[in-house]
Amino acid sequence: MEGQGKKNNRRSTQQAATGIRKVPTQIHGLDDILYGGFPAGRTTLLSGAPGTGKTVLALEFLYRGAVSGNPGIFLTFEETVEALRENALTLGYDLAYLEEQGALSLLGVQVDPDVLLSGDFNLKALFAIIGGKVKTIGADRIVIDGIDILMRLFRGSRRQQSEIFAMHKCLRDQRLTTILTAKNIKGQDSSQYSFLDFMADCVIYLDHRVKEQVSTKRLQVIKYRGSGYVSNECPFVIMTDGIYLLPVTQITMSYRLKPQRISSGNPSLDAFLGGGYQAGTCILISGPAGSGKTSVACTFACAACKEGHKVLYVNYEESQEGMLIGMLSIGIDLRPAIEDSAFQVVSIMPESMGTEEHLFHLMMTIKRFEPEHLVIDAVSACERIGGKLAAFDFVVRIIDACKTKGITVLLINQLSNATQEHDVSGMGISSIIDTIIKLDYKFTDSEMIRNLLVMKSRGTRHSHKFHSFVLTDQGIRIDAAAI
Amino acid sequence: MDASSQTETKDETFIFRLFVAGDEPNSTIAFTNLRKICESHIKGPYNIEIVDIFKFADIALEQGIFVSPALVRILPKPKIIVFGTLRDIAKVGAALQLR
Repeated sequence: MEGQGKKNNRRSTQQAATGIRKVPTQIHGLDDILYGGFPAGRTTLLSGAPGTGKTVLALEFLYRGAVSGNPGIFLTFEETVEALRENALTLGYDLAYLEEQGALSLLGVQVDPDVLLSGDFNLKALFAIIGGKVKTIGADRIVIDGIDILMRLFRGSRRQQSEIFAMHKCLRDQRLTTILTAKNIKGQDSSQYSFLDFMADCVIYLDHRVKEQVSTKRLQVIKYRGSGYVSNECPFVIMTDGIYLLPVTQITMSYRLKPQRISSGNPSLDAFLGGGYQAGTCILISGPAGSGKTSVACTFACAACKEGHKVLYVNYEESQEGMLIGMLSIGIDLRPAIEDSAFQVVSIMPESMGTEEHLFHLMMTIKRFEPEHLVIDAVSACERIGGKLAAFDFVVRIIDACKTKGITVLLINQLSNATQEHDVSGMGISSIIDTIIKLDYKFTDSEMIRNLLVMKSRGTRHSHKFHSFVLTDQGIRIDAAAI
Repeated sequence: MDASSQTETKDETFIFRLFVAGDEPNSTIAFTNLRKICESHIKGPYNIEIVDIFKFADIALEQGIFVSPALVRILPKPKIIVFGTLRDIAKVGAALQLR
């Protein structure tokens, strides 16, 4: 993901393992899902209800192609060319300029539903227009936005089919990589355009759901002839400059653990961990309310910032002020790090946005701030984003994205009575976590005893014993001797 | 041409533009039918322009024509468009407001 820049490739294609040529879409995350891009010289169908982002996706594909030396045609039955240019400007796409450069051709056709019909007619004129434009600008790709609108002219599905097939043949003869968009609502009368699904080599379904007042956009590859693809639904957002998908690539296996160790901020804890945390891995700090999780996390943050690293702290539980005051009471002063712009707190209510917005908000913050380490306080609060599944989705994707970039992720999880004993992450992600530290406390007749256990530390020998600790006004002090 | 004038005068010339796809059968039939319509409905002079979409695709696009055969009544205004072979002579004649 990070390595795929928007390079300038003339007629660029990508050879997949299966051998079919593909055209990179250059849309963030989409080429990972498609294992390279759209099928070259073939037809891809974008299907979905109105407002799901089909036109934006198709337009971005054409735009990115045009700016990297691959001219394209945008044929729309949905709106006027003027409206298209205007809407494109909101994405920062200057279509008029590309038209002047001969990199783009915009064709708008108004289909009058009341046009007089008498006798037989066909689409040869349209094919002639397309053929002319292909020659003029040397296009190798075309978007046909709203093919279902064109189809309304032809009565009867058999008639529609024969015109679609004729168009398909025309586009194939011109060797155009074709993207069709069609309005289609899942489950509703899907037989009407099932021949479009059949004819296309690649079918992508876009969906838009509102769940618990939070709106979600999803993309799913339904079919890709001759190629593998990621078959799960993938959430996406439309940002200021286009579409961003965040597919989960390879979750557990492919990350090489960097040998570099970073201090947890506490020498005793470093010793238990066999030298400290491993940079670029995922660490979970788990425990009931008040067990000292934020203190452990901030001890680390403070030490990392002193080393010259940047730490991004996402706080779903309290404000930056509240956090700073709380940490000052145990001798952790994060204010200098904040002033140096080494430490940044993002304090946010989980309910304020949907999963995708949270995801992308965070990803964009990471992109801008470029931290070495990320803390999420707390993943248990993520359930308030939109339920357990949404929380799982969110956390897994963040971990994946950070591991790809080599960012250390420190997750805090507040255990409740409802948390299963064996699942200390509270959401079934223990297997993708590299280090687990469990905090707890108990009361005796005379005092409260805090303890800490390194439950897991992948790749290192670690202490398997409970160690008691206290929160002093000079930080955490851990008893090196086991309980 | 006065846009408010509803009645046709004797010296108003009808101008039609027929978009055809080369020698395609549908297109030939449309031309034949158009001649019939004009002969039977129009008393005065009329003009039929044939535009081959294979040669003049740009003109077709400009005029919003993307199927063939397609007939456009250019004059008198308003512009009227009919798609197809024009096989229903009476209906097309009425639609073109020739009477």
